[in-house]
Amino acid sequence: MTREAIFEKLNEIFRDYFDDETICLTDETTADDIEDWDSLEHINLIVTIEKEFGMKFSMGEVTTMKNVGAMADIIADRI
Amino acid sequence: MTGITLSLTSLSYFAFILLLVPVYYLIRRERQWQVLLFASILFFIIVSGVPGIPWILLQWIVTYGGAHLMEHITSERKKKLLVTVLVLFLLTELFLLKYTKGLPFVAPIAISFYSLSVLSYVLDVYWGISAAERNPFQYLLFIGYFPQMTSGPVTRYREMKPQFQTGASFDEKLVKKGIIRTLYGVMKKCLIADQAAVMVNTIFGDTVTYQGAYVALGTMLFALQLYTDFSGCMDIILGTSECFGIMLPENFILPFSSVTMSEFWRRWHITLGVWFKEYLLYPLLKSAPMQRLNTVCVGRFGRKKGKKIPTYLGLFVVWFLIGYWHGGALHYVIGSGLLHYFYIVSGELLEPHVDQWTKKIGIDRTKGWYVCLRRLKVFLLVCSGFVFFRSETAYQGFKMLYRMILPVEGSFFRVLHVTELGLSVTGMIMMLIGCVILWSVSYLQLKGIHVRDRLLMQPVLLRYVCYVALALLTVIAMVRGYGNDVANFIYNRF
Repeated sequence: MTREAIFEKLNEIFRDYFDDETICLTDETTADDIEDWDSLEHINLIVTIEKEFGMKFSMGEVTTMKNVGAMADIIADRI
Repeated sequence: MTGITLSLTSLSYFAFILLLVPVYYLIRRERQWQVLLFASILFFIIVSGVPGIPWILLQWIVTYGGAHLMEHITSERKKKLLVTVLVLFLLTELFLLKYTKGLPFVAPIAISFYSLSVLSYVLDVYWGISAAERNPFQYLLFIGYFPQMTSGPVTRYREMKPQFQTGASFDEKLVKKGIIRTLYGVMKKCLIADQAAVMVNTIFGDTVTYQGAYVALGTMLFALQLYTDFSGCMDIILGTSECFGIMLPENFILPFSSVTMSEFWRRWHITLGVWFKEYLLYPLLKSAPMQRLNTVCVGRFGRKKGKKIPTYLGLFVVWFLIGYWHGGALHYVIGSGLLHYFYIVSGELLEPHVDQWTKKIGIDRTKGWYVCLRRLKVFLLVCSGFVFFRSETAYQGFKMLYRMILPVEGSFFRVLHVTELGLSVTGMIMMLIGCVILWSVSYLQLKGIHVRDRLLMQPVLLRYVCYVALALLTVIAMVRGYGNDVANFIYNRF
């Protein structure tokens, strides 16, 4: 899967999860840029992404991922 | 515990720092950490006393060795077993020394703070975020770095290691900023917290005489006391550390500017909240049993509602433990834990409805008056928790809350005799001066102004007038502090 394809799929997952069609992810997108993406939603979002891509993030990655770009890199490495 | 001789507001502490700073910068950068280690050992022995030494050494040796072993084990199962043993060891030591009454052990100072830092190191190594430290003495410095050996902040090894390793060149501006922050912290503690404490102690110490508005006043004064005490302590700790070019994480960012309880906890005792989020809430929510529960709840109640159930369950565990961490007693579990859990969850559930209602009746939620109202709401909710925090028992907490709604001398509108609460008029004036300074600095910070940077840009004369005024106020406050028996910091006991 190319990085572009990963981003496209991530964008779809985010829009569906937060029920917000205006979301447009970039490499630099963080939780600060999406209103409902808080610490209470973080793990559920991560698990949804894991299921969609059929991979797992480690606990270390869950806490240290800086932005969506880093998330896409990990996914690209693992699938 | 000898406690007093190097208390953060004592002259001996400042003499200790003044002696240390030149020595630190005269040493080659790669060896500076050794000066800090020597100072930390000295500080620990003086402040915590000899009986605490074996416990901190035990924690140091076991986790240093354990982390190394973990790196050499290839089997995931064995790795998991080892990390479980290490975590259980740390929690057992903390529990026995801090929360178990009647045992003949003396807990080292700040054990509940540095144990969390050590736990984060062990878990970071397990998760592959950090490599195990090769140098045992640099690792010992991470555990016992003296500025944070009283009340935190809770640090992460990955943030401290590079700073200890590289050391720092003398930066006049940074040292000046460190001194200003330290003095500001002492001012907050001695000029405001210690004065407010006198009145708070009078009101909370007599649950028969005081009721109604007196209890409300006592609670609000305690909010002021606790904030200036704890954040003042942090200013001294972070300011001192800045003098050595070591930046510690912030613990307070204008907490009373919060408009929701969740926001309050992102601004109050930040490093504790972040620790519980990253090392307990996230692993708990991502664990297999919680994910199974999530699947069941989503199937039963739909995605939106169903996913909230495991999240709120996880939050309950976190808030119970945050309350328990504060001292193991029920009044802490309620006042610093479960009450906040209740407010946060209620806020989460009510927020969409409040949003709808306000839209319906045409209220602009960004308007100044509405923001102020929300801030007031957060302040009052936080105060309700502080009633339990300040009380000796949960029963007293409930009693104080009940007494708050009783009239004063038969009337709800009686003038309170604040001068009869044990604090002299001079003390009150000092507290007011302190509050004006605190409010002005906070206001500027809220506007995004870096007050210390701005101060350092002012003309020499104005700058020195400010320094002298701050130093003078600090000295007056410190001298007054010697007369009070409230000179210890509240969070030193945790």
